[in-house]
Amino acid sequence: MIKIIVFLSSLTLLHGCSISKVQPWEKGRLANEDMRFGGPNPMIKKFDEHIFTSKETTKGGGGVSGGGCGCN
Amino acid sequence: MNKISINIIFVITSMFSFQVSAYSIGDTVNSDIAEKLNLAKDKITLVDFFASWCKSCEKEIPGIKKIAQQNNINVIGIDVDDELSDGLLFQKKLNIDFPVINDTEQDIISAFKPIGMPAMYYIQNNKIIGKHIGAIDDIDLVIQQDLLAFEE
Repeated sequence: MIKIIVFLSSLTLLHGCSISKVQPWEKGRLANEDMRFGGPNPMIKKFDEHIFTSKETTKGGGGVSGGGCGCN
Repeated sequence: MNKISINIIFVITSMFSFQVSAYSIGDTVNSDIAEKLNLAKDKITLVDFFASWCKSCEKEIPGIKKIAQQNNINVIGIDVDDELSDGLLFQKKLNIDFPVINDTEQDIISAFKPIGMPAMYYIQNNKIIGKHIGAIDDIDLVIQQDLLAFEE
């Protein structure tokens, strides 16, 4: 009986770890500038670009044309 | 089947969220939603979902505005921005002159459940007769072609 209770409790707790899918119309917040690494801070953005350039030996392409809607 | 087995099945099934299916062609629009949209009885209604953060929606708006000037179709825009001020600013910036419903609670779009944005639906007699999901070039020409196809 204890085993079953532990099993059910574990399942219930695991259920709490599940996340609901973000719907296409709920992506407004994700499209905000502050959702990027470093947010609106230009220094962190520059630092991030420097890491990318050093690692990938290429630069540019950091901008996004879409607004997070996943449509292009 | 004993009580414990039933409990286990209940817990396992509750872990899966059952998503109500999205509106597809041929479906009838829920009466509450139809009332909110104030659908035209005598002509096709074009429902266009957009948001200020959706760049493709922004690109399509001038085409939708052209279509809204025609008499053979009723155009309704649904702004799904959760911040009303963002939505109003966007509508002002693009000079949107067709009727717009600010769906800040996102209950209209939650009924349609499009798989992407922008999303556009044609509704006639409370029935979905066509839809376009995602960015489309020359949307006004595409809508014209659709309208001709509906007339046939």
